[in-house]
Amino acid sequence: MNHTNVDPKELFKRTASILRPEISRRETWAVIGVGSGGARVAEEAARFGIGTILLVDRPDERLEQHNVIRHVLGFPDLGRLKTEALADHLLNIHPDTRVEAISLDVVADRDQLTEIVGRATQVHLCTDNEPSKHVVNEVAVKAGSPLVFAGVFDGGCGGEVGRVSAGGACYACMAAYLNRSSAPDDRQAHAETFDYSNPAGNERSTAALNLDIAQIALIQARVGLMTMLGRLDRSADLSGNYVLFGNRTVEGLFPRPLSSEIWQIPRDPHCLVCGATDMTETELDDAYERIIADAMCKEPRC
Amino acid sequence: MDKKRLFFEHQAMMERWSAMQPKLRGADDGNRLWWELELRAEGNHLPIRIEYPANYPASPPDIVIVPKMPSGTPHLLPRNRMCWYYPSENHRNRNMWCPATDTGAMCVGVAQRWFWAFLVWLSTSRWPVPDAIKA
Repeated sequence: MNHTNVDPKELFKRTASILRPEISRRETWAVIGVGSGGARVAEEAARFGIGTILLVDRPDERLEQHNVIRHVLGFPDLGRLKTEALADHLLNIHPDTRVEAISLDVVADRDQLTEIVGRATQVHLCTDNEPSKHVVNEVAVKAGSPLVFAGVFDGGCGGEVGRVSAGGACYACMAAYLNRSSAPDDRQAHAETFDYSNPAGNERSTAALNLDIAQIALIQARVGLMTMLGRLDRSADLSGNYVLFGNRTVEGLFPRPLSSEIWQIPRDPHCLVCGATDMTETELDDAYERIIADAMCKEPRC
Repeated sequence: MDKKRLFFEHQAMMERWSAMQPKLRGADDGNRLWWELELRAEGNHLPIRIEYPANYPASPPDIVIVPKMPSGTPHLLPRNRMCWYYPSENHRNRNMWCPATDTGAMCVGVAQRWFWAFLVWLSTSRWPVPDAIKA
């Protein structure tokens, strides 16, 4: 097909009334981590008509044979950088979107990450390790960029999707809440003792079906869509900041397959990542300079 | 390290452990920071450094023991670092590092506990506490 002859009206003929292409084309979504979950979020972003999609993954992260069975990409792309192959795939769906393929270790290069997050109207965090999630969270909190994160629980039994927005709980607040803090009411009381990353308490593994991952990734994309449309119509927005979804039954968490809950996890005002100090910016600058000067001092009195 | 974070780190360390006279040290124009202090137990001294990694607070500090330790010392990682937290990084769980609430000051208590365990191990050859001791 000749992509130069794409008619946007025809392309979005069946979805325009829901998606509002006039809004979505002005959006920039950064998808950080384009594995099986992130690639699907990016694909949905293209189908939403998002104007610019920034695909970020680790340098030299290439599609391998064992990826194919759970990824939107297939055998013709084996050995290619996932970001570049996925960019072609997205352009095949929505040729007018602008797609940038970016190789970046988000944990190691915070400056470039800050630049990417600063450009994004939404950041989709689709990595699978805690340090990268915390780094992206910290940068997004500082930039004030909405962040949607997701995780698939061990064995693909279910997953979580969370949204970090200005003034609300950040990922670090939510992680602390879910892992250790006491719960505010009986309905969420099991949060005190439940290990949400490993609900079954089994030996850890990465086994999950494509279906299990896709289910959570599609909820992540939907939360992104609701966030975008919710700016115009609050009733279209998610009424909470954390979604739990069970693919299968897990005793004490998912009473039946396909069960879901939406929570509003409170911000921790004392969170060391998103909490405020009672100092002015100038006082904080002065304190920082003093601490660094003392730390760098070579005099014996220091 | 972020200005606000460094302030919180300094405040927490001084509030909790000033009696141990911890000293914050830096290199590379403040891009590398670590605390120096000395643990004490039953007349023994153990100088340690609590080092902030480049991606702090996404990853926890390293607790580095300054003197060389006896060969076979349990719960010791390469570069003379104490093993003190569950090392998995792909999942959250209750005894993992938590950037929202944990600071380098927490490491002092953890290190003190490791030191006591080490002294017990020296005299009994048995390590008396679980391996990942952050709880």
